[in-house]
Amino acid sequence: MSEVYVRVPKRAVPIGAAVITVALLAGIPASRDFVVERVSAAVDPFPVADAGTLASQRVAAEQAIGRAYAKGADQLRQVRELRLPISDEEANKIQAKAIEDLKAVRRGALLAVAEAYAMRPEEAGAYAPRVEQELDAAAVPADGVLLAPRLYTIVLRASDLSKQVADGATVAMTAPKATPSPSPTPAASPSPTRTPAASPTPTPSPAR
Amino acid sequence: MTAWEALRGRPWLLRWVALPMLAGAILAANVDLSAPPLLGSERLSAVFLVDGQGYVGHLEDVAWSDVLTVRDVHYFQDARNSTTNLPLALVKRGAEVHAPADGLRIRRERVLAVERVGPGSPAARAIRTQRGLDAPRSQP
Repeated sequence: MSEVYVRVPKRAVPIGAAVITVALLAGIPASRDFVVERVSAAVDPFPVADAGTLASQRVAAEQAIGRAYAKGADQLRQVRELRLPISDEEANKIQAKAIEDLKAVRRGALLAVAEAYAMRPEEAGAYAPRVEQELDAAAVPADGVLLAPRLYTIVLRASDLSKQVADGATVAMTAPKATPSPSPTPAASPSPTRTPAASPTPTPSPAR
Repeated sequence: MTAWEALRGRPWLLRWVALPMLAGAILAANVDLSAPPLLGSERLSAVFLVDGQGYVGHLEDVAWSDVLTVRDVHYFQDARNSTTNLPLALVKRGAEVHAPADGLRIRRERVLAVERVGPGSPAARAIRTQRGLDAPRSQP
């Protein structure tokens, strides 16, 4: 029985090892990503915020959500100071519904913050009413904080929805009442006198 | 006698002096001595382009490449419609329709300025908070 020997030059060993390593790393994307990620993290770390920063960002997001609610409620209050084409009873009803919707938007946004902070459901259930009480109890500070992108998305959504609610209620309160359209009649001869405009422009009412 | 002839005549000079000097020169051209690797805190950079757009992230700037690569990219967005009381907001790149996943490569000639982002700056805090929210956590 004859034995076959393969003679491998000593210098070829490290070159071969390097070629095999590169082929493996380049050929298997998962392993390449793993190695690149680990090396990058070692060379240039990606630190996470400490508990204090996380808490301050959460409070800033809560305040921005509180401002969205306050802005919508302020808009409704200003509209109620106008002389409206609808009765007080109707205006009260629309305003109450809008405030209810604004509170629902605020509650939803606070629950989204709780979810972002990975609170358990029972914690989130207690968290949202507590923050709402705090926001209602005192004026929200005007200082802005650059929020983390995820928190900003929540605030932006709350701002948009609150604006939609307030604008919808404003239109409902200020739109002219639907009156029966006059039946078509023969056009009268042109009158030289000017008639007052019929559009009911809201004017401030000192009574309210 | 030229330098090449001198090196040919003395192989040890090439191996122990010339090659290490070359390696050192390449390394020096690509290592930021103000923030050396494996030391210090995170190195976030802000890259501002000539069109006014700005990106914040981890910058890879290799001397011989005509592109800069930014990873973990964030950019600024108009926030005047929101109630954050700030004109700008920070947005994490990656949620676009094409879902960019492997960093942002910018041609060098489009870059107006590159600045280091302070570790205590609002942008750095917001980015670290985002990472904290992305990481699995059990307590707020």
